[in-house]
Amino acid sequence: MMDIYVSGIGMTRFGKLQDRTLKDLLVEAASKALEDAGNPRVDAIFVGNYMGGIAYKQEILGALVANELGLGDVPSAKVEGACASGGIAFRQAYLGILSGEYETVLAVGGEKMKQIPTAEITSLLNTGMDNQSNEKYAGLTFPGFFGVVANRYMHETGATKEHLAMIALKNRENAVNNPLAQFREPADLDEIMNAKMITEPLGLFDCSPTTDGAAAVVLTKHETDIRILASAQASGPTQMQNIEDLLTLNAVKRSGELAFEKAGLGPEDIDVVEIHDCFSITEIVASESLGFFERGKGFEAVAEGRTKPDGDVPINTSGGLLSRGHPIGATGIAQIYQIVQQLRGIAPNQVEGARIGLAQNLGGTGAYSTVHILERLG
Amino acid sequence: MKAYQCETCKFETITNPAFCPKCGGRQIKEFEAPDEGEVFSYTTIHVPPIEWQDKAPYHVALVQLTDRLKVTVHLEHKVEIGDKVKLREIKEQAYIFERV
Ligand SMILES: [Zn+2]
Repeated sequence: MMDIYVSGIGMTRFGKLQDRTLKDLLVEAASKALEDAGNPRVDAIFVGNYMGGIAYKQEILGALVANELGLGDVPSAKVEGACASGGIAFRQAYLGILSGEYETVLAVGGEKMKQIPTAEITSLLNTGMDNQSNEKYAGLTFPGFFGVVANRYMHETGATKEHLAMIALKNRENAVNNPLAQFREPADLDEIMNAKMITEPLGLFDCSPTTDGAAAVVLTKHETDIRILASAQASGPTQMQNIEDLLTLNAVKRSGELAFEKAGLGPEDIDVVEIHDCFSITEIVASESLGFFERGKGFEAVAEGRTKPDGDVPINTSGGLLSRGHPIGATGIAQIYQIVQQLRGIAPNQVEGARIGLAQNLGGTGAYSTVHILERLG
Repeated sequence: MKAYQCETCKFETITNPAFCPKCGGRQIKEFEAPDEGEVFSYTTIHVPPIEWQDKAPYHVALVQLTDRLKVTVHLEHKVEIGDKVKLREIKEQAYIFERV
């Protein structure tokens, strides 16, 4: 099979970026990535974005980026897969090269969310669930789903709210060292445990924030020192009541299995991981669904510090969605950005000697998942 | 409560699927599920979406009705995992449950 490589990465600051437009942010991230790649000819553009239309009244993001970057008439498209929009855009770029149609493709993701009040954002986020079912009418929300998962997880495993807080704390500690992260002020366990309740048992620090920002990656068939070992994607249940095992994210499990199979590797071969921690509980459950820990044991690994940058399974060295921030369409690509930095040996919270990294991006309440595995050559 | 079972793999759902979400089977039969079950898990929502702003905090639970069937329900009172709950009414397309 054809080898496909990453030749450039770029990312904006994440946070509340009042004076910036969505177009601005996409163009900044994309031009940084193109410059990093040595300004190659680009054959296509895929833009990861979730709510440009409903929250920012802007679509045609593909053509906007093509025009702003002066890339002429290259084909472009926006890719939507809720919070997995970025991961899916990256994968579409990968598949476009794999097909033989393109040599070099730009994948860029971005979102502008901070202009919308929380209650309204909560409504908009519900478009990532099955709104044509009784679940919507029961009042289930996106965070509510993960609250239900968290209560069941704690009931079955003996994990406590403090274990959830340890995830939030770890990711905050990592973000403190990341110059592009949204939250860089240190926090402590007490503050995290006693923060405002959002949906029980998840408090403010257990939930990823709304964020403005963008990230971009250039993929190419021409050899570089970062090779994409595997790209995989799976769909999962769109209703909570149809999930057979609430503590397994089946799309994550399946996309992980496919990626490991394609790469000929297992969880034990991965040096550094970015996991979609839209909520603290999600990091634990996804780490289990990916096979890094047994079902129901992920919280113990957190308590033992195994998922810190100096642990044996470093997870979310960027600060994760919880503290690096979660501009929805950018997230999947920002994860790749951090993994590439790790493989280049220049990341915040650098894992010593990192050679193989994995990024897992989740959409909806388990509706989509992508997994990408990257390797440093030489 | 009306529910649906796949005749091929026995997967059960509360909403009527055109195809079985589990096996893709097309032979789906309707059956009467019990109105009473056990709380499998729950949450209390303090920060609601805009259309629920007057009702927060409110409670949502996943209730186990049969070995194979769960339903997402709305409750006015807090429950715990393992509590026995039953259907009070179906209101505006929501299953409203209460503690037995
Ligand atoms: Zn079936």
